[in-house]
Amino acid sequence: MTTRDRLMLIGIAVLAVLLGVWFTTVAPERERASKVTAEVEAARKQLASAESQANSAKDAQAQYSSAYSSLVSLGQAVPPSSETPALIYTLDKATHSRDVEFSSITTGASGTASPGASATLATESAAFSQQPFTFIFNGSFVDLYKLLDQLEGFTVQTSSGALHVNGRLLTIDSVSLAPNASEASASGKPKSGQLTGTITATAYVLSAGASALGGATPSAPAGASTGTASTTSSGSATTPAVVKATP
Amino acid sequence: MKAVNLIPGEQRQGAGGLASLAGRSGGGALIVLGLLAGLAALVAMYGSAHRSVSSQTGEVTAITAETSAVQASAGRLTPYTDFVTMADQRTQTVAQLVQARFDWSHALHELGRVLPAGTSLSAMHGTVGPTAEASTTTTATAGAPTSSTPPGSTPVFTLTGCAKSQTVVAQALQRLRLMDGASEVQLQSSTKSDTGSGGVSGGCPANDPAFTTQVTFTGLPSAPATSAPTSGSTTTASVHSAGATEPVSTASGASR
Repeated sequence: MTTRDRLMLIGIAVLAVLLGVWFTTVAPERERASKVTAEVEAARKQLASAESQANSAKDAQAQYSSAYSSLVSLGQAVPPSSETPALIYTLDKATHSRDVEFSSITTGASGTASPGASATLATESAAFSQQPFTFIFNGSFVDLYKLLDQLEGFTVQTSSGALHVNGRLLTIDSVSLAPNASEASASGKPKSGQLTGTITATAYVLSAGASALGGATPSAPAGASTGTASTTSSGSATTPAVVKATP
Repeated sequence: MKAVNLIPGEQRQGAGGLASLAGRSGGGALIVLGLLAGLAALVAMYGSAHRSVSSQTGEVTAITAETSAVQASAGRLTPYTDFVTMADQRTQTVAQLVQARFDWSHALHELGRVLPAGTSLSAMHGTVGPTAEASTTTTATAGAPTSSTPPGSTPVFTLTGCAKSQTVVAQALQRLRLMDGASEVQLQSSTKSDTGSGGVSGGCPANDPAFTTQVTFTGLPSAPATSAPTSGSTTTASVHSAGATEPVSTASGASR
């Protein structure tokens, strides 16, 4: 064996030793380090997500009072129960502001309702149930169409996108105008253009099981544990619908 | 005079090749040095990896603890998030129902504006009926607010009245097309009676044609897309009550 061969063998042996050390000790540790690095990255992402959630929750807490006020206002537009007396009161006040007689109100489907409206009477929305009504008003053409404007004006959306709630949300499904027979004179012509307006409209109420405020109080929602939350209120705070009519 | 090496090349010492590199130790020193250098490098790499593992394991522990604390903090505020989300959803639902309405007052105002002189209406019946497309849409979007006048519904006015002559009836048909939103005006009948019905219920005078026409309006527009309610997001729409103004959720467009 020449010197050259001996050196080659020794070099190979040294290389083998170094490779052995690499594969048995260094490489596993480096792999472990990379795994831990990945764990750190995952943990950081989780932390960022949690912080985002916490920030959203803090924002929600900051918005709570305005959201509470909004829901109370929306309770006028869509109350948790039918609130028919309040609707009658509102309609009566609306007609008093014009020369219109509020003749009748009927709940349920009317015989003059359109097929489309009848087909959807029993349907329920995701959060609201439909409540059909038929109103009969007597008045002049101008007063009646202005009254329609007033009825739909109880809940409107402004050009800025804001909802303006001043009473029940009503969707008018059909309108029939005909001469007022009771006002007809002997000649058979209606007196001074008096008309009978039959209006079928749909009001909305919260679906069964839904409450207006979900048990929330002005200071905190149900289930919130805050130092300032009042503990004297009962949990079943189903806020009554407040209908404010502005004649 | 130039010096010449007379020793044969293969017998020369230290003149190149492995043997010359090995030197007097026969290369042992070189190999030991290489081994030591390699081991040193491996130890350095191992130490670096080990230090990284140690420090990052501690970091993971700290981050996990911090995450738990933050999650607990967010969890305590979950009722607020849920409440604001509910308010957003309800506001958007009401906004969509408002946007899905037909402006009856404006349509009747238009009707009164366009009817020509020499015509009178004895009856008017207006309905908002869903089209086939609207019905499909209504059933397809389960969970969406169901309006009694869903988007795509077509308002239709059926007008019955009297005119001074058939020419005036034609003029009335032309004028009805000028109504804002009217898409089609269709005459159903225009009948002149020699005697005239003359009675109640909108009878026309003798020789005045009684007409019935149908005005079809364009379908109600679909509600504009609104962003999904996200708690804590900046919101633009508001709910105004009697004297109260509270920002709540996103909605756009003016509608009655």
